[in-house]
Amino acid sequence: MITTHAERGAFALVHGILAILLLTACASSAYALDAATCAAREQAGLAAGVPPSGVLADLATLCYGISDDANPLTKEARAILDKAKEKDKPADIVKLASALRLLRTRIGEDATLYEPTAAREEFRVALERYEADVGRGVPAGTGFTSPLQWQLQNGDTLPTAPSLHLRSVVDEPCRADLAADACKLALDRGKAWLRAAVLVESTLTLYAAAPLDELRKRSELRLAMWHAYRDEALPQFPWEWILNSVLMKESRDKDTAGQPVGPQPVPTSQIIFLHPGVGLEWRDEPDDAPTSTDSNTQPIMYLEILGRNRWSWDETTGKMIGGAGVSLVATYADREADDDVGYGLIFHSRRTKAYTLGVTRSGDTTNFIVNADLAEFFKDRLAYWREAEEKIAAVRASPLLE
Amino acid sequence: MPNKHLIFLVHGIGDHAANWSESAQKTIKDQYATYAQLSFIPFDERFAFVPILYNDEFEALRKKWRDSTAALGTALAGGAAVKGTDAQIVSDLNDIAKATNKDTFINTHVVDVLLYVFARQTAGTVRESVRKQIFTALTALNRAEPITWSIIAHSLGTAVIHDALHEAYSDKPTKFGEKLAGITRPTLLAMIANVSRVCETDCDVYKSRTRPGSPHDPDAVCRFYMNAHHDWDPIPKPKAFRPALHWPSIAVRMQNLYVDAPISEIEQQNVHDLDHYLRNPLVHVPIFNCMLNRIAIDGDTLKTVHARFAAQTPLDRFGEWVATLKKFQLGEEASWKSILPAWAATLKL
Repeated sequence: MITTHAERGAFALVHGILAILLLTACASSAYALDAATCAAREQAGLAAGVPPSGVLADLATLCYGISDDANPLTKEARAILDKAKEKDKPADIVKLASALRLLRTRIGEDATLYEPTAAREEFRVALERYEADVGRGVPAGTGFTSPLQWQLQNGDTLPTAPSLHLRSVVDEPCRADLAADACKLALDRGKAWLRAAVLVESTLTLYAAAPLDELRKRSELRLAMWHAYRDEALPQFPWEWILNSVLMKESRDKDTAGQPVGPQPVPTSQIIFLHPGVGLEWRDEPDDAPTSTDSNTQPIMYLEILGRNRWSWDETTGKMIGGAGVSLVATYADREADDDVGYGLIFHSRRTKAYTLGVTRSGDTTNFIVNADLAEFFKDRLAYWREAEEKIAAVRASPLLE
Repeated sequence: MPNKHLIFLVHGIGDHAANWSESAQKTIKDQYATYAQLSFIPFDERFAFVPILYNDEFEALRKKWRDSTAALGTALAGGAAVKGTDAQIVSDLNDIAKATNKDTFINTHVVDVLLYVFARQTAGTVRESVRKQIFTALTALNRAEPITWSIIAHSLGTAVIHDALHEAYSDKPTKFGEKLAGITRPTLLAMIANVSRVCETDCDVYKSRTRPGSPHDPDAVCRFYMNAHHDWDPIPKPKAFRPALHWPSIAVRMQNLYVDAPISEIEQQNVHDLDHYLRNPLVHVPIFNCMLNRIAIDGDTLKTVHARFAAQTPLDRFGEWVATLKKFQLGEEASWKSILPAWAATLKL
C-alpha cells in the first residue's frame, strides 16, 4: 500500500486531536454547584420572574440528589451507589436494588414532605417494580430499568408518577408570596420529589453504564474495521470505490417498518476493476533480436481488468484476517523487438502486498511480473536496480574482461 | 459531580477542521445570555458542547485517491517507467492527483455529498465515526449521575445524524441484551436546513426510528425533533423534509414533540449558514425550550423578540426606511411650508 505509515500517522494524529477535544469537552462537562451557589441560582431565578417550578426543574440535575448534595437522603443513597460501583465491571445489582429500596422506604416514611399522596403511592409501586427488575438483572433499558422514565417532562411531570405535577406542588402555594411559609414548604416538597427522581435516575444510569461502555467498544471496533477496509485492503481508485459500493448488497434484516436494522456490515471482499499500475516484468530470454540491449527485467505498465480480493474480520479486535485475491491482468513492456501486450493473472496477498506477483503470456513468451508498492518502490529500489544493472553492464563492457 | 447537558454539534458540507463549531457555540451562548428566563443559571454551568467531526473521513479518502494517482505518475516518471511512455500521461496523472486537492469547492462540498449518498462504504464509515464520537462522550460522563444530551445538526450533518441514530437505535443488543432507546437518547434532535430526505439512502426518513416520541415509545430516537428551514435557503428545498400531519403519530404531534420552525428573515446573503439560522429566535428559542424540556421562554416573549429581530434585518429596515421616506416625499409644487419640515426631517435621519 502506498505511504501506509505516513497515512496512518496523519489519520491517527487527527483522531488523537479529536479525542483530546472530546475528552476536554467531557472533562468540563461535569460541574459541581455547591449549596450556596444553588441557593443563589434559585433566588436569581425567582427574582427574574421564572416560575418556581421552572427554577427547580432547571436546577434539578445540578443541585438535588447529585453527589454534591448535602441532603441526608442523598448522602444515604449516594453511599450505597458509591459501594455499587465496580472498576471495569458492571455495577453491583444487589446494591443498586437496595438503593431503590431505601428510596422507596424513605418516601413512604415522610408523608408531609412527599405530597400528594397519589404521587407517593405511584412512586412506591414504581420503585418496587424497578427494584425487582434491577435485582433480577433485567437488561438495561428494558422492563423497569429505564432512567428516562424518571426524567421530568415539560418541567412538570414524571412518566412514572403521572399524579405528580410540579407546577401544582410548587407554583400554586407560591403564587401569592414567595416568602410565605406555605411557599417555603412547597419549594421543599418540589425539591424532595426532584431529588428522589434524580437519585432513581442516577441509580438506573449506573445500572446501564456497562452496556453503554460495550456499545462504545463495539462502535470503536466497527470504525477500526471501516478504516482497515479503506487502508489495508487493496487500494481502490474512485471508480472502483463506486463500483464496490454498487455491488454491496443490503444484507440487513428489516424492522416492522421495513427499515434496515443496525449498521451496514463492513465488506469482506472487493472487486478490482480497471486498476492501473506499474511493475516489473522478468522473462528468461529478454529478446530474440541479436542486437538487442534489453535486459531480462523490464518496467511494465499493467491494467488489472477484473478481479476479486477477499478477507474476513476478527470481530473481537476489529482486525482484518487473511486477505487474498486474483485478477485478470494486461501488461505492456516496451521491449526492442517484442511489444506484444501480455495477458495473465496477478495474485494478491495482504501479507505480501508490497510485492504482488503475477504471470502473463505475451506472444509465445511467459513472463513473471511483480507489482511493487508503486511510489516507494520506484523511488527507492528501481533507481538502485538500474544503477546496479548499469554498473554490471559497464563491468561486462570493460576491456579487462575481454 | 453532576453532568452538564451535552450539546453535540454536527457540521454540514464543507471543509471543516476540528474547531469548526466555535462560531456556532458563541452564537448559541450569546443568544442564551439575552434571556433572563434562562441566564439565572449561566450557560456553562448547565451545558457543554461536543463538536462532532466527520469531514476527516472524507479527507482521508480524498488523500488516498490523491496519493494513489500521484504515485502512479511518480512511478511512471521515476522509472522512465516504460520506454516510450508518453510524458503526457505522467502529466495527466499529476493533474488528476492535483484535482483531488481539497481546496476546490467541488471537492469539499459536492464530492462529499455524492460520496455520502452514492458510496455506501463512505456512508458506513462516516456514520460509525459519528456514533463512536457520541458514545465516547457519553461514556466519559459521570456514570452515577443523570445523563442528558441534545444534537444540533446542520445541512449534510442532518442526513448523517439521521442515519447514524437510526442504525444505533435499531442495532442488535450487545452481550448485555440492552435496549439503547431505554437507556439514553437525545432530548432534542435539531435538524437545521434538513437534507435527510434528499440525501436518503437505505432508510426512509418518514419510517425510520429517528423520530420524536415520549419515553414510552420503545423505538423513538429522541424526545423532541425540530425541523428548521429558511424560505430562501435552496439547500433543503429539493425533497424537503415536510412530514405529513400525522408523522410520526397524532399523539406525538399533540404533545408538541415535533417542532417545525420555518423562518424567512434575511440577515446576510448566505442564508444557509448555521449561525444565520441560530440567531433567529424562531430557531434558538425552541432549541432552548426543548433542551430544557419545558417552556422556559413563552410564546408571547418569542413573539416580541422575533419582532425585534426581524426589525433589525436589512429587508425589514429597508421597508421601514421606505415607509419613513414616503412620509417626507414632496410634490412638484410643494410649498415652503411643507418643504422645510420635510428637509429637516430627512436631514435628521
